[in-house]
Amino acid sequence: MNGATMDNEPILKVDKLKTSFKTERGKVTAVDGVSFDLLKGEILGIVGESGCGKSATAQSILRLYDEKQAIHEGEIWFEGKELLSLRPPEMDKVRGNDISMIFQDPLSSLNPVFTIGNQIAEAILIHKSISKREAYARVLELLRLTGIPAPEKRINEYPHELSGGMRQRVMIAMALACESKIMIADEPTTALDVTIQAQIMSMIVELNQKLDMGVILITHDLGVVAEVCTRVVVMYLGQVVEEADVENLFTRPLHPYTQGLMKSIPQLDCDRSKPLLVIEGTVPSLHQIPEGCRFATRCPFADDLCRSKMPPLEQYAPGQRARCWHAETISKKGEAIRAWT
Amino acid sequence: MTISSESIDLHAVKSALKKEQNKILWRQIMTNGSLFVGFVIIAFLILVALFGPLLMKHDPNTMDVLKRFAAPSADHWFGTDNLGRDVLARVIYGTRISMGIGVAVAIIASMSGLIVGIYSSYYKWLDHLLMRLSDGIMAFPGLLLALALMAALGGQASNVVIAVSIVATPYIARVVRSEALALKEQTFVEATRALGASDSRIIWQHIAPNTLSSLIVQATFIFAEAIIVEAALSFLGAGIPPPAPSWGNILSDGKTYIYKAWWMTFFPGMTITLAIIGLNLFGDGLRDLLDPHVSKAKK
Repeated sequence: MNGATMDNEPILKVDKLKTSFKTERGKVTAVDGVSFDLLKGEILGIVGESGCGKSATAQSILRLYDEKQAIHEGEIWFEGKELLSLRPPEMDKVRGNDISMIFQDPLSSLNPVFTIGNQIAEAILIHKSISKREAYARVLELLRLTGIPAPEKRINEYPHELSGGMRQRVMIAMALACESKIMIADEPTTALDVTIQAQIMSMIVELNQKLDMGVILITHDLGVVAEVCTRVVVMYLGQVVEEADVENLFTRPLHPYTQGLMKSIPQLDCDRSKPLLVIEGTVPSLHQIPEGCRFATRCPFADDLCRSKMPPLEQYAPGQRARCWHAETISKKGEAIRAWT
Repeated sequence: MTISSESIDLHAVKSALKKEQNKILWRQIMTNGSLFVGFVIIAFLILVALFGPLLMKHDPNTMDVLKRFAAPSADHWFGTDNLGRDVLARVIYGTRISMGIGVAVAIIASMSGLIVGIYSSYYKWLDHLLMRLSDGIMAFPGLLLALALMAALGGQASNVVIAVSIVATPYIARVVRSEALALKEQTFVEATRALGASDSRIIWQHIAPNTLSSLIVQATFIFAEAIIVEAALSFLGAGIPPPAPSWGNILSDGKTYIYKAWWMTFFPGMTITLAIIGLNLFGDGLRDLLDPHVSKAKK
């Protein structure tokens, strides 16, 4: 396992977080009662398909949405502070300083008109009152830490002069600038090619261990999750459907959605004449959320109970929670595997 | 080790590439006809405005009644006017005044337009307020509004600058606002917010520098517009108070004698035309250079 010291002491506690947006067609709830803890020094994965609210959850933690359009409910606790009730200037002090974030597309995440040295230095100078010279020394240190070769030269280059992988390293350097305690990585490798993906991921793991920094990794790549994360939260249509340690999740998934996701990963030794498993149907629109279990429209096990009543998120094994009426039976009988194939 | 030798090679490649890029940029500037011609005209007029008065033998305001209505000659290249003043001297002094007003308006309107545009892109309630105000200003014909403002403020060079700047500001603000609206949704702005940057830091450090290229292009057109409006105001007697020789004043003086002394209107008129053509060519060329989307679409 790659988790650092496990104190089992949550550094971030998200409690019944609900984020809704006012739209022309009425209120839309993108994140609906999501709760999870991030323990000190762990890498927590949040997985789910596009539109399941994983990015919305991340952005809500930092309150990046325009709060005239987005409504947050619930609580987010960090170091004795409830983030959702902080006044904007106090929230500014948390962003980047205590909790930092890296984004999907490293090209558009950097300002094209400034050198990268300038931008990393800015990340430091926003929160720390140190001289420009000291800031630049720290920038060089950060560039070295993130494995950028010849940092003395790179520091004066503009984003367009760097490759995608380099840019993502710069973004990570910015996220590390103030030694924040939590880093939220929103699909950090989606825009990069596979070899660079592996480099960036292993760097995130390395930094997590070296700096004892909590990481929330948002991804739809289960391979990455298996390799990197200690715990995983699976989301579907704005809700947590399963939460488990990474081993449990892969060996004994409880929720049919998680099982479906596992089954749709191609295996090296699979029978290539058979098509890959597809979870039938599409995610229902947020405007027409089904009554009862949200996955019922696509679930092979759904019955009348599922279609009429929402299952609670219940604990089935130590550290493993799932939101399914039939979790127990499905996982025991191994029925899942048959039903899906 | 291999890495260091590689990085040296890379560096050489990079500097060669940079040289190549500079060469391409230089070629783009030189082959961009309108930019080049526009630049030459503007540079010439600026040089005239700065140094012309020093080289002149005639004073623009000294009257010589004996030489009234003298046709262009070796002594008076552009002839003399109804009071015997040298028209060339007046046009050259006028260059200083008119170009000065143009520059002042371009700078003031750019700054106020940048502030208005960028804040209205960022705060919605301000957007409604400022943009409706801009709509109101833009609904008037520019010259008419400037005329009304001059009537209210009183005829003075500084008031001409203020009046024309007020008329021009919404045009800059519109351009900046539309640019900033797109920029504000870019991920790098979100990323900067995630770093804990305050609104004003995002606005001035990150959005504003990215709007500059469109702002500069728009400012050259405002420069040209300001010269025309100033000339029109002076022509109508609501601009720079005579006898100060702004281009509009010289034209205005000449209009009564247009059949008797064509040079009194011809030369200042041609100078205004030259300045406006120069500025518009320069602005067009600059846009081609700074905004690759437009120039690509053209080809």
